[in-house]
Formats: sequence, C-alpha cells, structure tokens
Amino acid sequence: MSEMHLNHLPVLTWNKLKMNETVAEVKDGKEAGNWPETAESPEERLIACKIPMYREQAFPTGLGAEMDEYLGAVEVLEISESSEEPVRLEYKLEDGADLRKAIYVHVKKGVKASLVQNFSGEGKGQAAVSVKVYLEEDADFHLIRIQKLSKGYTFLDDMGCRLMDRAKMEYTSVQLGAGTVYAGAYADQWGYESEFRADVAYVGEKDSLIDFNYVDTFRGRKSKGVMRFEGVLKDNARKIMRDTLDFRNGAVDAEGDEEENVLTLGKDMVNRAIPMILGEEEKVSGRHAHTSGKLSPDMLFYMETRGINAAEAEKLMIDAKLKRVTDRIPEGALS
Amino acid sequence: MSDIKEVKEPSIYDFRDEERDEDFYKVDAGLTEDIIREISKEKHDPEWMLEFRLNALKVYKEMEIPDWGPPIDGLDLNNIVTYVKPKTKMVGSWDEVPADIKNAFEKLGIPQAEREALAGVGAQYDSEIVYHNVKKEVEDQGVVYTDMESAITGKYEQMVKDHFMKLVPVNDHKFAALHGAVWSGGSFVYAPPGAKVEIPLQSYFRLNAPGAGQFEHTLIIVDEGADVHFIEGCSAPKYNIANLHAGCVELFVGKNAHLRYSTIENWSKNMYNLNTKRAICEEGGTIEWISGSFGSHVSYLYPTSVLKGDHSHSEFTGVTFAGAGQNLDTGAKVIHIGKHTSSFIDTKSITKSGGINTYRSSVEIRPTALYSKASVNCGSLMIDSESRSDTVPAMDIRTDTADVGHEAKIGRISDDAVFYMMSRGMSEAAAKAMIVSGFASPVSKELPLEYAAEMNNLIKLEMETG
Repeated sequence: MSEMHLNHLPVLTWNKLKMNETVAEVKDGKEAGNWPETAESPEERLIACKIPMYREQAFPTGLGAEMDEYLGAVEVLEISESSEEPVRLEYKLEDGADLRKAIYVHVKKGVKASLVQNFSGEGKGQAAVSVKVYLEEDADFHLIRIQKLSKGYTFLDDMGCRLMDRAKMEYTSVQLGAGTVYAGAYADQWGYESEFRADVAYVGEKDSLIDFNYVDTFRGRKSKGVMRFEGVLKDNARKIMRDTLDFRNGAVDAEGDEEENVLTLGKDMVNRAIPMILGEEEKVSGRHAHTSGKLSPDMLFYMETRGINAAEAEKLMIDAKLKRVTDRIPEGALS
Repeated sequence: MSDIKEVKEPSIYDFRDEERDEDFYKVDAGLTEDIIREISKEKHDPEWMLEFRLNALKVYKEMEIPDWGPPIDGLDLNNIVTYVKPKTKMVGSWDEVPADIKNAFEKLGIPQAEREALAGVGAQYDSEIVYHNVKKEVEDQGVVYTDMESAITGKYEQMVKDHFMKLVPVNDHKFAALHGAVWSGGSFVYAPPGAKVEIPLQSYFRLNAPGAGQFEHTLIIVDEGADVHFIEGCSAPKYNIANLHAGCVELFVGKNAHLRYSTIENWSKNMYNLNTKRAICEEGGTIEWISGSFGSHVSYLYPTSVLKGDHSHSEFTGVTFAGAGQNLDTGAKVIHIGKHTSSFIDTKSITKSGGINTYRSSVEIRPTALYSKASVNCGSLMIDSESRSDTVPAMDIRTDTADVGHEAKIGRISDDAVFYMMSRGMSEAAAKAMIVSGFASPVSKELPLEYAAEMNNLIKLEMETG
C-alpha cells in the first residue's frame, strides 16, 4: 500500500484539528495520466494565509493533484450533440478489484448531455475514478454517480469541472456503500452566468469513513453555485465534510449557497465539518448552513401515535433524506 | 442624525509620549536566559516563578511558528524589548502617578470612566501596572482586585500558583511559551462565593515604548455563585517598527458563577497581537465574551471556552474591523465536555481598504457532552474589492445527542439602503458608517453605554480613514 495526500483545504486552519488534508492508504502503482490541456491556469492572486501546501493542479479536482498521477491513461469523451439519453457506465466489480478510471469529458458549445456512473461490487477491493468535465459556452451537463460497493471497498471518487460562459453543470452523487470513501469535487466557474449545482447523499454505518472535499470557485460575473449535502451517520461511522465557496476577484454579482444536514443515529459516530466561505470580491452573496442532530423526541412521539415505531421512523427519515438528492436524477437515468 | 465629521479629529489613541530613557528601566532587546533572569530579579519573583520562566523559554525555543495563519515574518524577537518598566511604583491615587503617564491615561479617559462607571481600575503602562484602585463597596464583598505582582508575592501566592498557566499551558503554542517566559503586569481578580460586582472592573493596557512587547497576565477566579463583569482596553501609538502583544487571560468560572469579559482592542497598526484567552466553566457556570477588535497589524485571537461542568454555558459576541495594512485572524473556540452544555457564537467582520479578515472557529463536542447544544452565526461585510474576508469554521461532533447549527453569510452594503439614507440628507460616507454600526450592534448593545459609544466612534473613524 502507498500513501496519497488528498482533499486539501483551500486555506489552512489549526493543525491540531487534523482537517487540512487527508493521508489515505491506496493500492501501490502510480501511473501519470495524459490529461488533455484545456486552457492556461489562471494566475492565482497570492493571498495571506493561503499557503500552498500541495502542488497546483492545472485542472483542479476535489481530491487533488496526486490523483492525476495515479490513474494512468485518460479516456477522452467528446460530446458534440445533445441527447436526452444519458451515457451509462456500469462498473460491476469482483472481489480483489483494483479499478482505476480517468475520464475527460469535453462538452461542446450549446450541447446538453448527461453521464451516469454506477459502481457496485462484492468482497474487498478499491475503485478510483476521476472525471474532469470541460463545458464550453452554453453547454449543459449532468453527471450522476451512484456508489453501492460492499463495505470491503475503498472508493476514491474525484471530479473537476470548468465552466465557460452560461454553462451549466449538475453533479448528483449518492454514497451508499464502501467502508472507506474519499470524495472530492471542484467546480471552476470561469464563465459569465455559469451555474453549478451539487447534490450529495451519504449514509455511513458501522465503522465506515467518509472524507469529503467540495470546492466551488467563482470567477465569472453572475456565476451561481449551490451545494447540498444530506447525510446519515449510524453506529460508529466517521465523516469529515470540507465544503468551500471561493469568491475570486471579478466574480461580481456571484451567488453561492452551501448546506449540510446530518442525521446522527449512532452514539459513537463522529461528525466533523468545515464549511468555508472565502471572499476577495465585494459584490457577492454567499451563505452556508450546517445542522446536525438526531430525530427529535417530539417527532418520534408523533410517529408512534401514528403506529410507526422508532426503527421504522428512522428508516423513513433516512429514505426522505436520500430522496431529496435522488429526486435530482432524471427519470430513466438509472434504468 | 450622526455625522462622520464628528470623528475627523485625530484619534484619541494616536498621541505619542516621548519617553526619556532616565525615566524607564529596559532590558536589552531579544530573548536569552540572562534577560529572563534579569526580568525575574527585577520583579522579585519567587523561586518557583523563575523556574517556570526558564522552562517556558526552553519550550519556546523548541516550538515552531504557526504555519496556518497570517504571516508574522515582520516580527523579529531579536529586536523586541520584552520588559520596559516606568521608574515609578504602583499607586492608588492618580495624583501620585507621574504627570506624563497620568496625562496619557487622562487622554484615554480612564480616570473619568473610573469616576463614572467602574468599580475598580488597573492601568498598565508598558510592562508594569502604575495605578490600581478598587471601590470600597467591592472590597467589602471580599472581592480581590489587584495587580499580578502583588498577588504572586502576597497572601494569594498559593492561589496564583495553583492556577497560573494551568488553563493555557506553556506548550499550548509558541507565543504562550513566550508569554510564560517574559510575562509582566496584568490583573488578578478573586470573587468569593456569592459576591456580585454590579458595575464593571477595568484594566487598561497602554504600550508606549517603540519596539517593545507587552505580556500582561490576567487571572480571574469567580467562585461559586459569584458574578463579575471585567473590561479590558488596550491601545498604543503607531511607530514604524514592530511592537508585540502576547498577553494571556485565564478565567476560572465556578459553579453557578457568571463572568462577562469585555474587550475593546485598538492597538496601533504596527502591532503584532498574538494573544491567548481561555475560560473554564464548572457546573452551571456562564462565561460571556464581548470582543471588539479594531487595531493591530496582525492579530491571532480566539477566546476559548471550556465547558467542563454540566449545564455550563458560553456566549461569544465579537466584531472585527480590518482596514488598510491589517490582517486580523480572529474568532472563538468552544470545547463541550459536560452534559447539557450550550454555546452561542455570533460574530461580525467588516473589511475595507485592502484589509484582510479571517473568522476562524472550532466547536468541539466531546462524547461526554450529552444533550449539548451549539449555535454559530458569522456575518462578513465587504466594503470594497481590494479587501479579503474569509470564514473558516470547524465543527467536531462526537455524540449523536448534540444539536448543532451553523450559519454564515458574506455580503456587501446594500446600494438601496445607502441611496435611501442619502435621499434623507446623509452623506454617502455617513450612511455607510451608520449601516456598519448597525451591523456591529450585537456587540455594542452588550457593552456599557460609554464603551458602546467608544466602539461606534472607532467604527466611524475606521470608515473614514480605513
């Protein structure tokens, strides 16, 4: 096994919190990917307390630069025509699997399309996937990722997207399995009136670990971004959520919104979060909210008066949380 | 209707008194064992305190400078004079304070405030307390309010020894270790069980010497059922070389006791303010922090509440204003340990003219803190696009019975609101200053009237000058 440094916070905080990055154990064998060049990286404004603790990534993703050197050959998918029918990629893994997938999606001007990635597997193994999406002007793309791997899996779930003028990117992610999940997403909104939306559902149970890093960077004027996370933590599951709205100079009239709601159902669970807003543009609006708590006794009592016991009520609440995210998946996309 | 012209006069904090060398005793610049021994000798420390200082110096040398916050590479300890003592002893009457020092505090309005609104005052000039007084009705309740040096060598020595840097250990961070090595001045308060100090006590810290450091230690012990309001003020004139403030505040709040600790900080903009404040609450105890941060070049300031006892509670209400040349990294920490503990953090940050503001916090709910509640609200107001404002709040929740809520917003002054106020005859600057004062009102409304007025004046001044 090798070490990989991933999920770096865009700005550092107290080292004692152990939130600045994660060091993951991954299967050996690194192979650099031949990612296509898209555009020059913007010249970052050097800011105080934004100390580069990791290498810059020309086309950033949530998990970070080390994923670019791990997955090997990159598949390029150019989408030039709109289609209501999503591209479907099914990954059914067997015990001992070591899946590595790097996909570059180029969505041409004005094209509307979607991609579904469905991961399932038995036994133990590792699945590592990174998708980078370049959206030209007026492109509209929906990436749907469903993960139902068994508990013996480690899942490295990476995404990056770059949005040009009026481009729209929607990302729907459902994490239902895998004992260890490292999930990262990075939206780089260069374009005027570009829009990004992420909806994520997760359920952690037993001794699972879920480690997130989601960043939405606003550069274009009137760019908009929304990130929603609905989570359930049972037993002694551990979760860390890093979610950042980063308003860069020039993102005039940009609007960002992030929210995480966690239902805590395990007395030994660990729920950690660091929802950040970074602002170097005055004329923006950013908001984040986080709630964490268990089912209220009042609600349980109400349910019981309707003949629903505590276990059933819990299941109903979990289903309701997942449904808020799965409702974003177009009908037929999973069939 | 208020008008910004009111504050076009020079700031009351900017005056500078030229110090004549013969009126002051100074150690050499830098940090060596010999200097520590010299400070200790000069202060007539008991032996245990000298050992404590020397150990802290060792820890300081072993620890690294923080790598996660604003840069402090402009601060060179080799150029900082860690101890500057006015050649006067501490007195209990302003008439006995040397004229130049008294004049400085008169300009800051301290004697007047003492007459009108305070139960006791301590005034520190550079490294030493030069004036201390407490009203008789407070003393009659058995409340002790004195300077740290008197406490450490008098009948409270054992109490000080039992508490001194126990809450903020010297290995907490590099500047806590520095404080432990060179601390001087500060206040000691002990409120016995049931004592109620209805009007505030105040300590005011003035650092006048260029290139000097101030390292006062404040130790407050509020015993069972007692109630105290303590106000801390600080300021300095501006020089072209770095000054350093690395104070330490330790607050012990007993069972069912209540302590409100208010600070209006307006250090000069050449100051590195690397201050540490921490409180621990026993069962049913409450700590309230009211914090206004306006000055300094760089600040690292995160008052911490340790909610050890069941049903203990903390509130933090803070406003930070960063203007040109300032990088202020402020916020709060709460550690929930006891059952049914609760905390509330409400902060506002205002940034303009190229200033940098970072709100940084952590709320930790330990597995033992069953049925605890925490709420965090932070708002940031950006006045222009040369500035930067970040919020970096962390939460670590380790019991499923906790209820935690967090909300943050970043935004700007509404054009409509400014237009409306201008249509009623206000200038644009006055309208913006009024809006910012309103934004900061959660803090000012918690302060005594005189201090709220001072804070609003500071906001107007900052809005005008940046």
